[in-house]
Amino acid sequence: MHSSDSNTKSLQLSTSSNFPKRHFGVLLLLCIPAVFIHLVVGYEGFGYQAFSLGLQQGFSESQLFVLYELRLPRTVIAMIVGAGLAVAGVALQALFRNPLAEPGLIGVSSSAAFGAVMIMVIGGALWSQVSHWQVAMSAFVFGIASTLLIYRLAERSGQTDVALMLLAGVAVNALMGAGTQMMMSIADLIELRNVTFWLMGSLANLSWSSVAWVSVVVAVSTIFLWRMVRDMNAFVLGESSARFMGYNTQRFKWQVIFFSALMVSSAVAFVGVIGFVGLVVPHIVRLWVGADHRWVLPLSALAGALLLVLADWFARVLIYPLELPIGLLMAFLGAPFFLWMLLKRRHGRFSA
Amino acid sequence: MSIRCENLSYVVSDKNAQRMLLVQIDSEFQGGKIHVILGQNGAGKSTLLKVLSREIEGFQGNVLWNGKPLEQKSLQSLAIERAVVEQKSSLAFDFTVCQFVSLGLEVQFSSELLDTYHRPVDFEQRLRQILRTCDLLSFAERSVLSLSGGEFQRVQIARAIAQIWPLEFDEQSTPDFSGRWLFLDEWNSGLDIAHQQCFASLLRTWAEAGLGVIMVVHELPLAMQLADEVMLLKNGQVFAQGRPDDVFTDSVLGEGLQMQLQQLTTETGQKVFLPKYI
Repeated sequence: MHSSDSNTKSLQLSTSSNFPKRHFGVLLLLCIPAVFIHLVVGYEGFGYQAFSLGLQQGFSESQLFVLYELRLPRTVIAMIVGAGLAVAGVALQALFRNPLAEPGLIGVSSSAAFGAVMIMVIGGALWSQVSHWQVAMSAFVFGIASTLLIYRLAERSGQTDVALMLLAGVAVNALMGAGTQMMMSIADLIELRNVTFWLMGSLANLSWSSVAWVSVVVAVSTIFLWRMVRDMNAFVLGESSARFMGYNTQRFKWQVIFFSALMVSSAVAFVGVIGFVGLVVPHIVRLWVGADHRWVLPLSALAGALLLVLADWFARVLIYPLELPIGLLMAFLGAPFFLWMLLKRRHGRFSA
Repeated sequence: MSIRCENLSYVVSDKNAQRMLLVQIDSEFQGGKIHVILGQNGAGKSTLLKVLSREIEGFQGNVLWNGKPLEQKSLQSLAIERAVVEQKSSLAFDFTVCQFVSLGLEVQFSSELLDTYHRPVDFEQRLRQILRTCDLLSFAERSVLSLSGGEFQRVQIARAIAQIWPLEFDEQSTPDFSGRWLFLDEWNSGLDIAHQQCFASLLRTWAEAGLGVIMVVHELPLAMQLADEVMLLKNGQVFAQGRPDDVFTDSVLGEGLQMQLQQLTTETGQKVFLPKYI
């Protein structure tokens, strides 16, 4: 007994209190060059050289205008949307108790997109001017409705039927995709062009007021979800297990559905559909720090911000002078990643 | 310390038919004892455990937890008094064994209902003690997804006991478990015989330290050796209950469980029933 005691004393247990400072530090440090690259690298005229010159000799007024009014909003929205989509992914995965749940895959994004397109196309006939608010509200209504629907379909006595979840997601995506196509077929040409580009996802040309609105939504939702990381840890063991451990699972489910739908739909309403962020980011973070949601959630927020800033820069310079829609780029990156996840998934009774 | 069922019934209604899963159960479970619930598939064993653990509500009759109606106890106060090892459990997240057991331990450590003033124990020390007790130290850092069914079952039991392990204790001795309850639904499924023995003796030790244990099992030898009190359910009704000597008889088991038995007598004169398979 004594010898085993002394052996085990030296064993370092990976429990609770070891806050992964190093991981946060690495991500925060990486964000600095990423923001810099996104702001100044790959532009003609006011590119890297002009910027470093400006740092020494001062910027001209027009340069400052370009930096603050055109480029910085795009950098900020990329980080905010990246963080929001990643956190929504983490929360939905906890809700569905499965790492394959993702706002794009289960149809939340496409439903929100349909809600947004519908208001854009039909709303023009009803009101003279369709505001961002109306688009966002409509996106939110459809986003939260589809989350509720999929959850009710996939839940079986406190456990999730993953096959049903993914299949229901396929059906919702098909339905909402068809609805969106229908709306586009009755749209006039100018609307059609706007809607098409917006649908593929674009972070360009957003005003500071739009950026601020999305930022507030993402910040508030992330704070609420962050407060529930322990509930998430318990909930993924099954709803009854979480109740046995004293967690209020009803409140948890409503909050997760509400805030993740809110973040996804406001992202969709302003920047279009950007898929797979919520799948790829939490997955990589889990491989890195383990499954504990206390670290997965905040680290995913940072990693999501980092990923989308880099991806957006890449989308801008890849086929320069043309710009690849960020939604397309993420689909090109994310879909193979999803297939890889499916392939390497452990077979057995736990993977379901 | 007791849990009393008074005239407890539970009815589910399908489209137009009503099925009674539990019929007028009167029984008392006492702290510090091991209660074994036996019965055929669909006899209502798991349903009874679910009612007692407050997983399902809307039953008829009374369940009194130390004299207080079960409905009046909050989920939080139940959580620090009773833990449940469920029959089926799936997990798709890559927790380590350590983290998984910590989830149970955190319930005691973070409960607002417990005195935050006297918390002499260190979380990690406590965790290590529980892992050692349940023979899990050697794979503390392994992913629960990599475990076999039986190994995962051991981790589940460890998480459950961690949830109700009293905060105040001296590391060398078994803590005072009085007022705490452990519900287990077929806890031994998938466990090898050696670990069944290991956990059986742990359950006995904990029960002697005051823990109330209510378990559903199918294995007669295990039930006979472990039980202080036995309840045999048939079609949702109590077919027999009482001391093991009274319940474990040819006629009761034969009729209550609808099984073919053979009776053996050990060298020490103990009666043993074995199922006759062929």
